[in-house]
Amino acid sequence: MKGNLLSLASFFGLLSLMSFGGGNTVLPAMHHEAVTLQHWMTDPEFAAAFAITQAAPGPGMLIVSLIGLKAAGWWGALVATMAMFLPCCLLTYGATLGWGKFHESRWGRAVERGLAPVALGLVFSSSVIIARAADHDWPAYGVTAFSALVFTKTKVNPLWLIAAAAFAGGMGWL
Amino acid sequence: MSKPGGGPGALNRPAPVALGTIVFAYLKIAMESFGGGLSAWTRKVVVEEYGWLTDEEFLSAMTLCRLMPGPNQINFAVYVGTRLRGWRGAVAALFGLVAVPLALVLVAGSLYFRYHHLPALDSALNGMAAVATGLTLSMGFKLVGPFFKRPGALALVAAAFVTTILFKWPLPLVLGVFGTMGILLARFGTGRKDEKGGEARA
Repeated sequence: MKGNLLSLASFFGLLSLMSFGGGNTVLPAMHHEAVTLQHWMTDPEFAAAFAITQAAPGPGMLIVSLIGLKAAGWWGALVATMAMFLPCCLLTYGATLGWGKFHESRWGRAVERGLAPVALGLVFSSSVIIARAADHDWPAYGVTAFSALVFTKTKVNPLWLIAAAAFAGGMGWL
Repeated sequence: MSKPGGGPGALNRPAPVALGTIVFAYLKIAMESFGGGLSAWTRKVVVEEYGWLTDEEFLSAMTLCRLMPGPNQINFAVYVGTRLRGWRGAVAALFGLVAVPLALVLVAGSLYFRYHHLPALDSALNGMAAVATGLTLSMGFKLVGPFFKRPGALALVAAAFVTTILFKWPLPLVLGVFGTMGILLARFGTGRKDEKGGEARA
């Protein structure tokens, strides 16, 4: 357990500082660590943790709390959550105090524009990683494609589709 | 009432915003974001309801929060809280945003880890995961549009995707190689116009 807590703290602490472009960009790295390397959870468990945190209110990044919970119980959840949130929050706190100037500089704009495409590529990677982890079959890929289309074209609250898919899945239709 | 807790970044307001108000505002944002759309709800509450930021400040702050590592909305809560009441405000906003969702997620998660041998529950969650994957994908689709005008940037999108998925590059390598390329392209690339004109080419 102790070892797991240390691994959780160091992994998520570092990940916190690398998660440019928001939470979805680091899902592939989390999956690699939690499932492939450390065997904290299985692929279906990872996919379920993702589904739970997406359906729940608040930041989707709370998936780290569930990875921590599975790896080392309640302390694991606490340690993983703090490790993920604290470093980036401290950085943002400092940056808030010094913003203005850097944003107007040429380097500031270059950093903003230059990281955007990489972050976007990682968002697409995340979709593939999750689909694989959930061991999607063809109906599930259909649901993914359909909901991607609906969410891109309309402003439907995602909760409706999530609830419908949970029901359909529970009834054994998926 | 204490003095405004803010450091240099605090807003010039007649009366400091109470910490409890910040907690409550962020709790509201969190609860309204059931099923997603956190950034849209943040704008509605912070700009429209409380008037803590103007729309312009909101967009500029979004950029900062995208730039900084970490989940955007977490960073944004830190930004708003810091502007209003310094570090105490940041803690208040974070607490409001995270406390209740964290409790819900942990309860749901521990129930799942205990009972997931039930096949119906597993397939229900698989259905949910399929939709949640679609949600992530749609975010990518919504953001990809402008990149078609910037071939260099589009190549970086593809490169980050392919190296992660096919070659299993770790994140530091992807960021180090393509992030650096992106920044240098954006800074020194040809065809750059100035910001007002909009479309710089990376």
